[in-house]
Amino acid sequence: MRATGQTMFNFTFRGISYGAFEGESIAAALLRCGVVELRSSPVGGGARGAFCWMGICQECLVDIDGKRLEACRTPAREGQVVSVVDYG
Amino acid sequence: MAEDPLLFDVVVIGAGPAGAVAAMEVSRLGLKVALIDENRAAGGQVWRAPQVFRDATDRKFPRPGVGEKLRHALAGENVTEFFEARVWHIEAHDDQYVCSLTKDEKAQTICADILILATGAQERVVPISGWTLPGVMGLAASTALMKGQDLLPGKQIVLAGAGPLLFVAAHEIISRGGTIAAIVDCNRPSDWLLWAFNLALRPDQALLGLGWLREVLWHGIPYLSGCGVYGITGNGKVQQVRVGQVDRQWKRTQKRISSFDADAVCMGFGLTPANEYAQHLGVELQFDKQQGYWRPIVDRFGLTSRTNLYIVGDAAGVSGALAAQSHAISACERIAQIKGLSSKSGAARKLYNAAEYTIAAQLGRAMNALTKPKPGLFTDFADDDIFCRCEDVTAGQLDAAINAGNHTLDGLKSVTRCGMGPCGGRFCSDAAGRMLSVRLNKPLHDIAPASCRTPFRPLPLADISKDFKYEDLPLSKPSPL
Amino acid sequence: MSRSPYDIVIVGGGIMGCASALRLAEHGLRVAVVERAALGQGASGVNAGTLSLQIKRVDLMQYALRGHDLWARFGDRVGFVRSGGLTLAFTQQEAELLCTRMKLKREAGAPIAFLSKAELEKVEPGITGDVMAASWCGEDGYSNSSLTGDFYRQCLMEAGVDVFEQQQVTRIEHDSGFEITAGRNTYRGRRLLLACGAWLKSAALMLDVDLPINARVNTVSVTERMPDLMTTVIGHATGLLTMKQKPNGTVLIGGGWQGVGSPDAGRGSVVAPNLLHNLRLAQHVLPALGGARILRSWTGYEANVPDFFPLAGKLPGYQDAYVLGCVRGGYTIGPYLGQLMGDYVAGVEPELPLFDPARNFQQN
Repeated sequence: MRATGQTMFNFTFRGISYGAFEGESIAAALLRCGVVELRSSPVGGGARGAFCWMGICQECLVDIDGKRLEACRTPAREGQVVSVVDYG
Repeated sequence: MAEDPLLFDVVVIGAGPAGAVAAMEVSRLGLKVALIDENRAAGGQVWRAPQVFRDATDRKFPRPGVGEKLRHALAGENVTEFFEARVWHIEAHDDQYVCSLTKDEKAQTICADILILATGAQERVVPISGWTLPGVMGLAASTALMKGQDLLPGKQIVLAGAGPLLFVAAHEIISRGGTIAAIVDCNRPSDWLLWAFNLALRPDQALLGLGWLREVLWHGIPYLSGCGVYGITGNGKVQQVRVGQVDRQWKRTQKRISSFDADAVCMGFGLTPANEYAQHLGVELQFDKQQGYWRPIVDRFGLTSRTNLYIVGDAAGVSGALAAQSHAISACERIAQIKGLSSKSGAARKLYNAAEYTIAAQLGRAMNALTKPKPGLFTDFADDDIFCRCEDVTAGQLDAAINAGNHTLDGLKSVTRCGMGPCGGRFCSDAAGRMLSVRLNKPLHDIAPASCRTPFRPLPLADISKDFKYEDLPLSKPSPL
Repeated sequence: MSRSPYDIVIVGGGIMGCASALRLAEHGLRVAVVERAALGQGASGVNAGTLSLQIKRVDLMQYALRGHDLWARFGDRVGFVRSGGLTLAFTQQEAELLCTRMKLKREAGAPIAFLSKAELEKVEPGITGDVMAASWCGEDGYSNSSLTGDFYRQCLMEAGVDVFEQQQVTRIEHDSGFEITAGRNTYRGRRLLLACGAWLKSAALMLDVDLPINARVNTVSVTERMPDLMTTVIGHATGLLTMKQKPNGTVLIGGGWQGVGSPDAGRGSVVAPNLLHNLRLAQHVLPALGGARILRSWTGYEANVPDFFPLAGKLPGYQDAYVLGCVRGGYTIGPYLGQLMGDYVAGVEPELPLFDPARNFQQN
């Protein structure tokens, strides 16, 4: 469970590559890189980002291989392709 | 199809201080226990296990050891852990509780005679203009982020709301070398003093609190008491926070207005019990006027009106981690008594006693009582301020629906979609109830909570449809012609 | 209450009660609606909103056609969409069932056609390739049942009907008229209409009438907002699936899978195994649903009598008390049946016959 480290790897969000530490959630890795906007509201189109950091509010939802996952509790993985949720 | 159900004597949902202790205690009674939590490790939000160690030589946690000690103790007990598992549904059958969960992208069923809910608390927030901007988060959320991910919410942080979490978050930020632009506290010093006598009961906690206050003052952080956030603005993210004075009812006075540059706002009004599980199982809720929230009716052992259903810790009423552990132990004592069992090890039990529970709970409740949102927070909305984040329901839409005669939370939800989005109303329903109360001039306890529906968390269809075979469907006889 | 009695007190603020109230007010009667919760929060407001002629009973088709017309007229206020609807069969047995039944329904007046595989592909390209037979009805569609209560509240206010919400009726007494007690409040009416859905049984018992009513506990689920996955209302030959994607992108999944509960004990609960079958069937039919998450599942009580035809007429043994409910497909048919009921109570010959609650339920 315990991650040890300083080792970093890369994943992509919106086609841009970001570094992440082992054990780091996608939302945390992006925040560390200064990225806070994770999706747009399907109703009004406003920018949204992580709000509750506990997997409840669903504001940090991202799309990974067609699955909608909470970025705040999904650990970043090497080579992972993270996209913005498509509401059509 | 889902795998065969797993059978246990006791299932504990939630592995925070209450749930982890409860699981350990019942396992010491010789009972077969399952402990379920959606996080990666025990500890709950308060003793959240750190997930990231960017620099392993420089770990400095505010209270090193408490969570680790718990996790270590848990590992030594005969408790079957289901972590990173989500309970999405619970059924009460005649003689057992049946929990449906997903874990590792698969459906799973766990049955037990006794169910202990230790689902903790959730953050209480009040909508404010601009609160949907990325960079705005809950106060408890910010502590979860810092404890779990060792990451600051931003470079220039405004802390806002009410209650001790303001100082807990401040401490976490300061200890990580972060910058706090301002602490904006709706309470005045006199409000704090009103509750401060409770601190005399626990000098250690009093010292801890004073330490946090001293730290804030030492770092010269602007501390604006009797003030609230008027609005947050920015282009796609938080850039500016407008704050100003609020009156005794926390209504804006339009005085002492100032503006802070910030890239993060952490705002919250304390915690409320996570009631959805209890509500779903038909446990009656009562309105706690002192705390300003609904909580399940339980006795001092956490026993509900339902046979073999216990609710312990903050889920039964927010009292804090210390009280939560004592509460869990007393529930387990009750279980032992009913089952005629004795514990193989009373070690943990000796650490806690009823008197300690009472004091801890009183202190926890006193601190949380400082966070109860006051009506003035609900009088200054602009029509286009977003109230329900998921569905972009505005304060104006809510007002219109109330004026059209929708005077229940369920009715409001039906017509406006407030609370119908992915969070299930967890971040707007409390506030919508307060809005109704203010608009209808009705006491909060006369506004019934919105009805609760499962799944408790969004349920991915792919996770429950593995190995589907059409022939397995029990398609009974067709409907009458 | 010192005020003079109402011409009629209606117990139940769902579609049946509200539609009847509106018609009675049109006839000039002074009407009160007494509702235990808020208007339209029972079956009227929690059903899946399907308006499908393909799932209506043959003998109720003429009522359903008129019901459809009314919903179309309510339009945007209830989120009405005429999307067209499909019914699918996946086995030989289901295909035969579909064929027999849809022919009968077509004869009864529903414009139903059978589709070829290619036609089906064109109508709904996202559907699984496993379909063995499909029927189509262009009249089918859906409304947003969540809006039922607010819609009728506005209508009733405009019509001058007195609405009393959150009034749980605890006693009904009959002397020269009817005295209805709800908590500390009393409502007096010269006549009484019981239109309280699954609570009809307990309400009628207050007047010592034991109606043979059972409550089904139907399950409905909804996903989060999704990109466009489908355009029609999709059903299953056995009736065990209804599915549609609302304009907001959410997908509503129903089909009458059973939960547990009894009306007098509060809201019903979902039963996980049944719910899972329901959801798996939905995903089987539309594989792209695998990327969706279910946000809420809930149940609604659907009252019925042994012959599954409505109760619409006089409460057995009473001259001035009436009962309306137990309508299979009540969401679709309710607004129309309420009109018929209103006419009947007001002494006007209804356009189509009603359904005598004093009939022998075992025949038929």
